[in-house]
Amino acid sequence: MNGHYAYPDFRGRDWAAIRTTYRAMVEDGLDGAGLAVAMQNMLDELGDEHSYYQSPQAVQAEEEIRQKGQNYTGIGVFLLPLPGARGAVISVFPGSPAMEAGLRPHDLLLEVDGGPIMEADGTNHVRGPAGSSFTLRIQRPGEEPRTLTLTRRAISGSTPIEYCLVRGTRIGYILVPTLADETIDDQVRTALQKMVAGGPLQGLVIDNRVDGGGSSSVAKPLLGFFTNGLQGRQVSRDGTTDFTIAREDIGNSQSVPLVVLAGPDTVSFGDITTGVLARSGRAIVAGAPTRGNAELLTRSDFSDASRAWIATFVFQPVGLAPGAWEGVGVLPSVSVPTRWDLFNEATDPALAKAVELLLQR
Amino acid sequence: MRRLAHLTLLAALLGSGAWAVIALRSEAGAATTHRVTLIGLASDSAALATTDPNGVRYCAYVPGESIPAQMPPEVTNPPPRTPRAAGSPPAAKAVPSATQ
Repeated sequence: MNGHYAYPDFRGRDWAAIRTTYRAMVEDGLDGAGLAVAMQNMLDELGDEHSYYQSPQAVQAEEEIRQKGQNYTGIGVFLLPLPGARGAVISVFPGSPAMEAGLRPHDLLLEVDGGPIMEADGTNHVRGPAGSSFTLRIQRPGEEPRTLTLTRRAISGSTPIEYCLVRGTRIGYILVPTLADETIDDQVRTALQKMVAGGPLQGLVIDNRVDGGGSSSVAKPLLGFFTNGLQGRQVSRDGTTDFTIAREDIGNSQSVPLVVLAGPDTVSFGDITTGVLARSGRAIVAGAPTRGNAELLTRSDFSDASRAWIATFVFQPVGLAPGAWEGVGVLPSVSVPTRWDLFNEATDPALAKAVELLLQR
Repeated sequence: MRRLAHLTLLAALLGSGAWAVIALRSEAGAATTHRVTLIGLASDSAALATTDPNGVRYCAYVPGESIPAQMPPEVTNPPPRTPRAAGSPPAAKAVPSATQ
């Protein structure tokens, strides 16, 4: 931390005092769960809202997903956690119980067996033993709540993107649910290839509203479908690294007019991909300011197999100061409500605005 | 009186849907012409198809038809956001915009 934390002034905090406080807690004796909470609390005191700690169990779970893709028992939805222990569907796994039950993006999951969807510690009650059934209270935006009975089963594969063509136009829509799944750029490539098979696109909506970020190994090739060249630098106390994008044209993807939808759940590499497309002049951003949390994290592995991901780089967009988007986010040029759980694909005000903008070009 | 009737039936079946245009012409001499055109739309395949010819799903949002959801006031007029306190980033030279 002392040598590599992105902010030499520790954001005005007294890191030495923070360290002393938490060191005393550890020396007084903490079990594994207590240590994990203390480590996260210690990092939270820095206030960057980005650096985080992973317990050995969390590391193992993440590594399994990274190596094998999603592999769990549940119903096959990728969820956006919401206040009140609820969740909203971001995307639905093909062939899953959720898809068979007709769940769609934006559906709100209210209760599992009369209780919360998620716990504060991250426990997700939608998951459970294979073959177990439960009642799921859902509400589709604009409709009354209803109850479904679902049976959990093994779910595997990648976190799915969503994509579609706007009827009567050559405008495409691609939902990027995350940049943490290593297949996302491949999925977007496939989506583009299928969409341009019918001819060049006249416009494309990239939905980054729930893109919580992920890895540069996904963000960079994804950006490469739409832009190229030097787009910024990753600035650390040890030096700078160019953020250069390699071009990959899919049909007319390098020139197609773009609208990027973004909002407060657009975070980290979500911030960066949105900002780069706007800053390079490739896209209009519609929605609300992004989270503004665009540091790049570096991994520190500990001997007990836990990890800390520490903000060690800030992103410097081309022509702007280092950390230009930190705290303030990428600002939209067109303001549109972005609350994911208040509309569905048919009634999405931001998609409607994006299509309107693209049809005007 | 010579009466000439034409019945034109044009039907095209596309995918699972169908559309049909039936034009019935009944003419009675040159002076009197009675024309009835019936347009029967059993269904409209373009409207019903859920995918384009290449298998790409059509969005549920349809320009000119779909009505955007009305957002509550707290969503359309959110309270001003307080930016997170910024730290001092590491020093670095600005990247000239000409290098884009």
